[in-house]
Amino acid sequence: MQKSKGKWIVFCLVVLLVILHQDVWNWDKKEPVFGFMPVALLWHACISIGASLTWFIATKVAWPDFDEEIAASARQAQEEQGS
Amino acid sequence: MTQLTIIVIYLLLLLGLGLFSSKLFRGTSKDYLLASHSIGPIMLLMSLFGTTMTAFALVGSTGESFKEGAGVYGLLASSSGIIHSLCFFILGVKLWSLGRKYGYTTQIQYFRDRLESDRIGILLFPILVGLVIPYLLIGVMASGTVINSISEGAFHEHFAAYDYGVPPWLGSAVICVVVLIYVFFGGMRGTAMANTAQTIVFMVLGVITFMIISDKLGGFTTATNKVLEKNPSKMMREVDPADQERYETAYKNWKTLAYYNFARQEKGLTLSESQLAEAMAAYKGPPGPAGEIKKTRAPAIYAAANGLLTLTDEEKNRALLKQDDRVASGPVPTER
Repeated sequence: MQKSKGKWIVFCLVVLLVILHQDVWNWDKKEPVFGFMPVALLWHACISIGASLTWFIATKVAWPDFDEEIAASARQAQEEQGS
Repeated sequence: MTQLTIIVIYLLLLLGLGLFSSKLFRGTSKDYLLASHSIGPIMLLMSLFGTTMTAFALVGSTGESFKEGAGVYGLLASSSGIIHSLCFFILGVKLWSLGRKYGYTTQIQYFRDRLESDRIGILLFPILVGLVIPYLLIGVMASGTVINSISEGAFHEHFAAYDYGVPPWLGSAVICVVVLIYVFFGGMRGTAMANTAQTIVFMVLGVITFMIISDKLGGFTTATNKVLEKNPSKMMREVDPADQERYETAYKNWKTLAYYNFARQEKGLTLSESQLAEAMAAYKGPPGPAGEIKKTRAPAIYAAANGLLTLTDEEKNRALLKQDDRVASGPVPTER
């Protein structure tokens, strides 16, 4: 997959997470889910899982390329220039 | 004393870890500041987690959750999951690659190059340090407070003013020295190793503490039902109508008391013996310790109900200001 397309996917997922994070539709719900878990807590626990999946996807589809060899040679050239 | 012994052993282990990591030091500034880029993904994750889980997360968010309820998780945790990572992704990765490419080890080196100005470092250094200090201070202050709370009663003759525990200033000072030693001797490697070890301790003890407290409260369902019964607003983001009503009633009572006290002190309102007896007989609220609440509130409610509190708007406002009883009337006792 192209990195630019990957970045758009990650951007859309982040926007979606930010919208879901508002959860105004849950604000007045107090009855626990599964008998013990507040809805507000469960919802945001799911947001946390969603966020971790989003950033995992980001590392796979949108992580910038970084060439170790080019960097090493650039650094070496810089050091030589300095000395 | 047992708690204090555990804390001392824990701190000694951290010191040992710092000194051990100094044995791995390769003698270069890059190794000291960046551990020669040798920190792997697992240690990086644990170290970042340990660095983030400072006083505000372990002490602050716990207290805030106790005060405000389940919504605090969304405020602090799930929002961090989105925003912190976004910062790492947009800024962190780019800066890391530039640092790797040009050999930067500090933020100032980057800004000096980027803005082509050596003087920018002189300007930035105090700003960056100034921004970090409040964050560090929160940790230092909280560590002193927590050690003081945990060690209460550890001593029999010393530190009476601190409930016979380690004074907060002493606890904070010891923590500072321990952190200083393992950072000074261990550099980034020592810090990462100490943070990783602490993260493991946080996680394991966090789960154990959660299970023990839940069990003592009668299990997950029982504990939640107790909150639902006594503090329903803690289970949701909005205020529960029952809590709202309770608050409004309490506020109305407080205002009535303020108006009554003002009318009594400033306008010479006095209830006769028969009126006072009638007020006491009509009072239906809680009497309070030694009937103190009944003695103060009953005449106020009676006066309000019988139209005796005729105050102007200005007088009402002055009454509310005067009734502000959140300030202690005398010096706070320091001795036990």
